[in-house]
Amino acid sequence: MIRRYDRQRKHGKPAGLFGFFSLAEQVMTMATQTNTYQTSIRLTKTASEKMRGFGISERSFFMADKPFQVFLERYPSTADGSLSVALLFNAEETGRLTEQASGQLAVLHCVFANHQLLVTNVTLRKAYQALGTNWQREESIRFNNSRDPVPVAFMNLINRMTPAKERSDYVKKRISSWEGYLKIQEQGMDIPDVKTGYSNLAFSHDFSRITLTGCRMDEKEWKNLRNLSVRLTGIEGDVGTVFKTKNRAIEIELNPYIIKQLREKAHALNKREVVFSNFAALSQIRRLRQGFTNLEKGLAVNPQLDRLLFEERPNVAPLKELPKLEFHNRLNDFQQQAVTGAMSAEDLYVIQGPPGTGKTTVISEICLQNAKKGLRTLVASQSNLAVDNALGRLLAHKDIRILRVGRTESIEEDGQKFIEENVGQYWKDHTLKEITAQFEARKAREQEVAHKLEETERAYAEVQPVFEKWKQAVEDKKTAQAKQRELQSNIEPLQNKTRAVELEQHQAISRKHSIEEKMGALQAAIDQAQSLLDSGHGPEWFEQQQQSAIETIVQLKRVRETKQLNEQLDSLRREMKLIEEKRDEVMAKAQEQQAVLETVEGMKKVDSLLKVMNEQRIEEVPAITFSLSKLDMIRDKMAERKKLEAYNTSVTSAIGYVEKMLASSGIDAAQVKERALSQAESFTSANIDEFLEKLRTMLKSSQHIDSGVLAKALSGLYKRQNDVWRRGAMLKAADIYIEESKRAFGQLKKALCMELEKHRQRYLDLDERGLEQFERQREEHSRIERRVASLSVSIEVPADIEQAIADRQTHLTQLRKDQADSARAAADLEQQQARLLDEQTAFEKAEQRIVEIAAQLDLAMRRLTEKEQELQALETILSTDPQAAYEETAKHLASLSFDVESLKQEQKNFPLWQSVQKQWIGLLESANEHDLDEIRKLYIKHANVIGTTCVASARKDFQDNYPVFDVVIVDEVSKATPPELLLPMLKGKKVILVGDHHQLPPLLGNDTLEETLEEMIKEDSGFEEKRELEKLLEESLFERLYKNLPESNKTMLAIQYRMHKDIMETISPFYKDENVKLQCGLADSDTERDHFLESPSVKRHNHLMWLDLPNEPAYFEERMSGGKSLYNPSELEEISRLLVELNDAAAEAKAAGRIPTDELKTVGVISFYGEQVKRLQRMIDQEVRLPHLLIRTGTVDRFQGSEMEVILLSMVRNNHNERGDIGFAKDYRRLNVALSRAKQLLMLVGSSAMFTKRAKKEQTKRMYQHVLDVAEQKQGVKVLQKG
Amino acid sequence: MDKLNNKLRAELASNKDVTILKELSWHLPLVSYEVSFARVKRLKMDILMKMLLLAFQEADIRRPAALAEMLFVEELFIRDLIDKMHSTQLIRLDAKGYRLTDKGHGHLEKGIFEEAMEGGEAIVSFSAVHDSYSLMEAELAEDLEKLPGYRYAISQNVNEGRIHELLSEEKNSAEDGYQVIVADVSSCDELCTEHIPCLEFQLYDQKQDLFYARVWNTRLGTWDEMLEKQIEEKELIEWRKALEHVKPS
Repeated sequence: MIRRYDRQRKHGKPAGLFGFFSLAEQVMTMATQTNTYQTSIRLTKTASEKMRGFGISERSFFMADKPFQVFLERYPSTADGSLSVALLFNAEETGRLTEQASGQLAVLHCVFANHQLLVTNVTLRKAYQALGTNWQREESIRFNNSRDPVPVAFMNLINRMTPAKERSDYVKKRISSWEGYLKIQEQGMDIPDVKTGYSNLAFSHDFSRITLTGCRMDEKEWKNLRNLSVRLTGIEGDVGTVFKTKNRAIEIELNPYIIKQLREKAHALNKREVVFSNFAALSQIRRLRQGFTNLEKGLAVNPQLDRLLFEERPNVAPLKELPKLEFHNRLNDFQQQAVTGAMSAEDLYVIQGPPGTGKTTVISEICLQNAKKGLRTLVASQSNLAVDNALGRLLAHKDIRILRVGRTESIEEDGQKFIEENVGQYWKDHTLKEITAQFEARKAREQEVAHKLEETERAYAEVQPVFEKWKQAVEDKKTAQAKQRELQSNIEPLQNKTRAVELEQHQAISRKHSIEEKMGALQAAIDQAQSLLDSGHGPEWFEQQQQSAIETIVQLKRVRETKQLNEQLDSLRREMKLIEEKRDEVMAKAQEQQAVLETVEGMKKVDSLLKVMNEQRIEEVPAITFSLSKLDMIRDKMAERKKLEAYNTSVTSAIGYVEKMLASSGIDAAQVKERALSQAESFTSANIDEFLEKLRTMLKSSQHIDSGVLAKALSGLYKRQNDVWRRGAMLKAADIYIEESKRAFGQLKKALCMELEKHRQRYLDLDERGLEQFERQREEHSRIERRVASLSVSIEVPADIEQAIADRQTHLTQLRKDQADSARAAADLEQQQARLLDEQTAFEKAEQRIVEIAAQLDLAMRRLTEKEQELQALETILSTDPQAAYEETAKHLASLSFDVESLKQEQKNFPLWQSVQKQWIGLLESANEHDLDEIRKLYIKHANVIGTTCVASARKDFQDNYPVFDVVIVDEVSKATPPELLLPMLKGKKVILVGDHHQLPPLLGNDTLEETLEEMIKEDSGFEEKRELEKLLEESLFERLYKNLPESNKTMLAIQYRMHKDIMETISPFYKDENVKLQCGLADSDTERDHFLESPSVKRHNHLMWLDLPNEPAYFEERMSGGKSLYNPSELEEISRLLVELNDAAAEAKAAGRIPTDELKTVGVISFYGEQVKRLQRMIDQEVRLPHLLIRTGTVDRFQGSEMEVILLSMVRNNHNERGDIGFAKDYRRLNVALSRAKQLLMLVGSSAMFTKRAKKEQTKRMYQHVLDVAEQKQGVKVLQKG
Repeated sequence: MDKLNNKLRAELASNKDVTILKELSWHLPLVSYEVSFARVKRLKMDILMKMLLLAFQEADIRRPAALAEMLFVEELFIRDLIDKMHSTQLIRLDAKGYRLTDKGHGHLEKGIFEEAMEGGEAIVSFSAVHDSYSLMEAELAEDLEKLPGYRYAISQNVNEGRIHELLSEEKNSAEDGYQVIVADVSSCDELCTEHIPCLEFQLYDQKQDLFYARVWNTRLGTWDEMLEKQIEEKELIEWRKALEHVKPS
């Protein structure tokens, strides 16, 4: 989304805006190319007050005669979701609002509320804060104080922006993964400068270092000295960095450019004072940090830079179409593709350049192409050396004006001629060289031109007649074409005519056919009518036939009816039988009921009645229920009476017994009775039973019973007797109950009989209804029988009567129709015969017409053929194509004529050119500093290729002079850390990255990331950073970009020109996963990379060799006492021997004339280990003299980017350790660099067993095994014999 | 001299690992020449502008591109200069091309015209071993040398071109828009040969197993790198052999 807006911003036209303008406004808008938004603004109270405080009058917004140029920055939406935006005014616009801003800038903080732009706050901000960042956009706005709503277009504009904070946060989040690089470098950075005196300054033997003694510092200061930069009072610039401190002596590694000055001045320094400072390193880190901040703030020149760097799949803009480029360097296909791609890319292009594949040539070509288009290019790289290498190899071309920017003293030889002071000289040298060459060439040219002119004029004379001939041919063809057109215009009406006649013919024939058809139909009709008439069936015959048919039908219908009636009779009979059966059944039921009734009359028991009810399923009607419950009740009462009588007997006898017993005691029973009965009490039957039982027990158990107790018992008995009596009084006498019972039983029986009778009556009713039904059926039956009897049939009855009826009816219809037809035929016959006659006349006419048309057609065809033959005749002329030849010849002639003219011009100009150039040469030759001053200024002003280091590109002065580049090319990208890369990338509209991720990654200070990591593990410093570092080791920015960019935005240069093909073979596997294979661009490696050396161990055909040392203790690596670096004395010895041998071989080659005598064979002696390199250098300086060799030593890491004719690689590692550790040598990238430095001869010196057999990892073994295999294949393995 | 020798010896011996194997003193010949030269004075004028004025004077030129081709100079430069000359009214454009104004003619004349000036004289010293020339303040005194000569001294004839180069560097000057240029070396006569005493130390750093030389050049007042390198190049291997011979290990 955002991408699109930014694109639009480039064109200054927000999308969708035009929809809101009238056509007139559109035209106006397009004419002025700017859109002005009109909007009302409202102010909150706070805003008004703040404005008054800043001296801004509200009216100044509305009084303005021209719109305000305002920067818009979207804020995150407010809590309630309203759109929020800041309007930022630059200094000039702020000036239009107030004079009291004192250099600060006005900012309106606004929200959109109720379709109004509401200013909620007004602030002033510092002028140096960036305006116009990528997260802002500049618009022209006219304010009014109406109450109109904000234009939709304006709101849409804001709405489409991404809030600045979101973009910043995005960058902040992603860039945090790069923090590690800075954190590591920042470790122990915050050290204040240390100033101290010293008593003695001593140079090392080769003046590369000095040792200071007698410094006075506190313990902490001593500790922190390492890697600080050193200044000496009296010496200009940093002299170097602290290498180490030992026994209070400070060893300082000198900057190479300072050595001369120091040698001259060190003895005469007035004041012995030294300053140790961290400033340089700190300011470097500060610049890197500033890069992060700038990206966050949206200050990258390319507004998409953050996305390009951090998105998983960088969303690059599609390439623009370019016409085919004209190249100025000789480029292979890959290089051409890289240059074309880099030129067509809009934002980012990545070039993967394996060793020796001509990266610099590609860079040179891109710079030149840019220069031709008037674009300015920045060539940046991580190190000064790499920048200078790149610039030094750029093509000297007048359109390219190279300027090397940076600290003069740190710029290498190749870059020196491009620094400001020297560009005048460089320009003069280059111009003088070119102009002299031209001048000299022209002297020879004078003759040549005269000769050429003569030749060209002759050629012109020869071509002239040919041209005339072709001209004529073209004319002829033109005439023929005219004629052809005329004929064609004649033929066309003829063809039309023919077609018309043909059409007519066709119509005539079809008319004839239709008449024929009609006639046929008429004749047939006539024939049919005639035959009808001739058949002899008159009207009477038809009447008769019809009558007979009708009669038959009547008969048939009768048969049908009889049949139907018989069926009805059958069914009636069946029904009647059913009814009779039913009646029999009902009668049986009625009789059964009668029988039951009679039995019931005689029944005496309720149970018998209940049984009958159950059997006969008699419903319990209320009368029955009432009688049954009455019977139940009577029975209960009778039972209770029986029970009370029993109690009465018991109690009364008990009373008698007790009274008798008591009588003796003198207690008056009557008194007891009276007392007991004074109060009526109720007792349950159980209570009475219990009481009597107790009494019985008591009386039975003791002989003598207390009279009180007896009185009490008697009282209880009286009470209970009384109660029994009371309850008995409430019941009727027993005979009354029997009487009631009999009455109830009679009622019950009566009710039951009534029910039974009802049942019987129902059956009788049913029988009655059945009888009626039966009678009805019988009546119907006899009626039908009578009808059947009345139907008589006199014909034979067919099987299918319905069909027979239908047949007869069809026959009848047909007869009627035939009768009608016959009548009509008789009537029509005459008329049809007349019509037939008419048709015959028409037929003859049609035939006549056809003959006429045929004649017309024939005529037209003949004329057409004539014209076509004429046209045919023109074909030969028309088929020729003299035009091409004519044009070709005309062009040739014109070119010859032009050549003649330009040669004549040149001839004429000769004296002038020679004279002007001669003067020019003279002036150039005698030119001094002053004379070149103006040129230098012009050159710097128009410089279009600027070279500097990544970090220097962020220096303040550089930033001021060169804020923006059209194209930024970063070379050796894989050697730079992402923070370093970011700095130049921030400045480019387009960024081109060149590097090789299969070579070594960046160094941190003097160490590789791995070394730093190893050190950290050893020192066990900050766990946090260690993790960061491991993370950084895993990902290379360049590698990720190269892998994830679409094919269109990257190229691998796959043809190398450095190494002999045998040497190249050793590194091919490192590139096997790329799209294309690494190829050798040398036409003939053996001749082009001949080292011309012959010695006992090195033969002319050897280009890849492995001097194989035994994996035995005598040849083992050794470790510096107290140091971490390794060295290998036996390899040192072997290399010393080899160097002497090579030197002798070079001498011999010179003597034999294979090598020019003044040439030195360049030899690089490299190793994976610094200590070994140091010892190699010492050995070369001290122990051997090799006048025929130019030797450079260095670690593999330091050698990246260099090449030598011969490379000796001292591999150092050789041991019997359990782990088979080979240290740095296991990194394939390091091996790749080591193997790819040599042009003619690569010699590995080390133990092959160590690397191919003992190494820890399979992968490592395979990697070295491949090198060994290739060397073996090329007969390059020399095994050193033991001892 | 002895004092200097002691001081230097002390300095070298301050490194305890270093042994002085041998000390030598000898002299280095330094020849001085009396040189007289001619000088001219002319208007300070940028050569490209001068060339443009000359070209406009000589031919009809309308298009800067044509001139750019003829001079093999970036058209941008030519346009810039034409604009500048136009605005300072040195040239004007007529139907056929650019023409010099009167002011332009005058300017060009002053730029070409060289006013002869009084010649100058200088004393130049030459060290053949260093292949270096330098100006001397005063004439050297011929001295009678007691020390032996430098064992790798060479004799070489003086190169007048190099002297002219030196004089141009040192004697060219500019003032008020004019520059004074050394036009020619008119004579060069040998004056005398001075013998510069040098102190040579042959050293061995035991710790690092390094042999090296230090040569103090009394005239320069510094260790003379060039001489040290010459000696090391020629003798270092021998010193090592000799030492190994003395104390076979």
